[in-house]
Amino acid sequence: MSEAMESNYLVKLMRTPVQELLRGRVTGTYPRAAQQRLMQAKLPASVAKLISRVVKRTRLWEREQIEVVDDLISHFLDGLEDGKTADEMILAFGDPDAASRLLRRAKVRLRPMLWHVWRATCVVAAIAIAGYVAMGIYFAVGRSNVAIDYVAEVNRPLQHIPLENRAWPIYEKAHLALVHPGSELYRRPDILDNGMDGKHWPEIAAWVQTQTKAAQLTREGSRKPLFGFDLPAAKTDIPVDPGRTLFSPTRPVGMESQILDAASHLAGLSDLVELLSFEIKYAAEQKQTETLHSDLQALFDIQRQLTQSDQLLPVPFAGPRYFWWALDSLDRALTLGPDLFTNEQLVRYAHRLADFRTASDLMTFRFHHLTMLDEVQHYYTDDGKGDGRITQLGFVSLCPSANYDYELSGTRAVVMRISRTVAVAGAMARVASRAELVRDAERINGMYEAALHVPTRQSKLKEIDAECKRLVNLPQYRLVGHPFILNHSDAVVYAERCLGHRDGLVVGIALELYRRDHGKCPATLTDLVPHYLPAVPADRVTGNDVKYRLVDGHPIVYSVGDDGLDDGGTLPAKDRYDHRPDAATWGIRKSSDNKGDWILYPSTFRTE
Amino acid sequence: MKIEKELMRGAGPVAVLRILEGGERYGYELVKLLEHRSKGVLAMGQSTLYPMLYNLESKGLIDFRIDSTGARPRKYYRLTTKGKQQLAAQMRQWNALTLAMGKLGITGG
Repeated sequence: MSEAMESNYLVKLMRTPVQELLRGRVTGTYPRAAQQRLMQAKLPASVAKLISRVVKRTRLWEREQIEVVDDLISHFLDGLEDGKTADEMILAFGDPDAASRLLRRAKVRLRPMLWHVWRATCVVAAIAIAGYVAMGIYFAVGRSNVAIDYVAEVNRPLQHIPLENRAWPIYEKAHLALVHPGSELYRRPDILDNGMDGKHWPEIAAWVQTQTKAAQLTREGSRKPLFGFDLPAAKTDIPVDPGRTLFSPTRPVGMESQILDAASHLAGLSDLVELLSFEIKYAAEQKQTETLHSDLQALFDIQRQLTQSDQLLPVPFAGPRYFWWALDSLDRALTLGPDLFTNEQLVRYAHRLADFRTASDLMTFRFHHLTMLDEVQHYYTDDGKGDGRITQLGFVSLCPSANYDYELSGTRAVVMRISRTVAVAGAMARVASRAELVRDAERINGMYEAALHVPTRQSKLKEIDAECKRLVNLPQYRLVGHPFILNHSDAVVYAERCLGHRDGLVVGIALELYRRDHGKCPATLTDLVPHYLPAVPADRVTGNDVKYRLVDGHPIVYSVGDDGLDDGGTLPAKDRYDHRPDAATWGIRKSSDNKGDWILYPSTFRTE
Repeated sequence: MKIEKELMRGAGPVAVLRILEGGERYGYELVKLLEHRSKGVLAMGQSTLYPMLYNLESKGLIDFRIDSTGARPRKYYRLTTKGKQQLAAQMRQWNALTLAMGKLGITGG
């Protein structure tokens, strides 16, 4: 090789491991020192070529190659001096390729321990990286298979119900007739926050009188046998405001559960129910008995329609919430104008209230169950046997912290998505499988569903909450479990409080009937049994009879409340919003501590 | 007679250690002595010998010194203390093996 060639950059480059790399091998260079030693040894060309070939292919470190070259040179020189020919020596040498392999293996064993540790670490790291990449690809290629149209499933029972038997189309008209969002009244939350009991009641009452059309349509709708709400057909091309979904406002557009999206439509109903409750108070004040009883009837009918509407309630709270409205309106009307009720009407209302035995008559978690199944089929792959793994889109949708790059576009978006793919692969591997998630979510849902069938004091709600908490804190649920494994205890307790309020109202009606017959209230509630009441209702907290006493000649019925102590019918000093509560709000807002009693009747009761 | 690879893998290192027990040797000398003393049975190509020497070295059974007093430097291999112990143990095993094989009529012992 000429000096000119030696200086050639390409030649130099080819003496580096690049040459071997191009041949698909990872190797060291063939050191110049080794070549020089070979040249200086003046061995026959065939022997020098053999040694070069063997040493080169060992791919050893430079120092190691020189050692091997020295050994082989010495060996061949000894042989030649001993009278052997070059050909004999080459023949006796054996297979050069095998020699290269064996020499490399033996020399590598001689390397320092630190190098062996480093190499083992590299191998382990390479395997781990390869495994991680494979796992990332495995999750990245996962696609969901939306096999069940839950919207159609839910709508199916309504297919054969004629339009004239459905209330919802009329409620939609009523809501359109309601002068609501643009009105001056509704722009002033200070007015509505205090509602019927605030100083702005005259303004509200004036507004109520302008809403006769909406109220009339609402009453008309309430007389229909079925609620008849059709969930909107699946939308595939209309971006939906992510804020409208119930569980995850950061969910990307196009991945909303249709059921969740549809639930928001039902929210308008609460405006109509609120209108009726305002109108009931106004009617009681104005002694308009016909309007009063029509509206009360309508509130109870709306509540019935909702709970019978294929048990499809947008949120578990909706059933008790509408029940509460009906109770509260009846309670207020009875307090304001007991004379507006005949004995027969009171008995009829009492019987209607008694239809609700447990919280399960007010609410169900079936809606949540369907939602869970719908979300799972959108966010998990489907192996056809009920199992699957979370998809990348599912993970990003369910885990807000992974959903950070949807605002980006162009190259940054591509880079961010690649990094996200790499970053979330490990997290996705920890997420529960489809079968595991559905099993646990259904188990918890079933436990809360069962809790609705017994009084809360017997339902072991704390144990269910603890199990729910344990599950969502498991590694497989920590990131994505919350939309599926939900704590429903607030809903259960809320329904229980509504039933407690109902108990108080039933006693209140019995007390009114007793007063009409005897001209005074009874000394104890047992005096009402059995003529006015089949039995004194149990306090929902203790299981003992509810409490009763007269305040300024007016009866109050109360539960001892969460603390289990009889405070003589004293409301807690402050509710959780730091307000002084009245009986109507105490049940909903609860206290910041558990002191005080739960006034069940009348809802307008206040302690000064 | 050519010895199979597997047998050679077991016998070769003991043979090398045994030769080195008699004193330090350089590579070519070892090849010759192995061939001569075993009457060609344990003759091994250099392609086998040098990796074997490196392996014995890595196990600490032999080490070497470079003799630069001659016309050219020469690498002499010698037995270490550990190598001597290993050789003694190996020889006991080989004797037992030969005895057993003899009883089975496989060897002359």
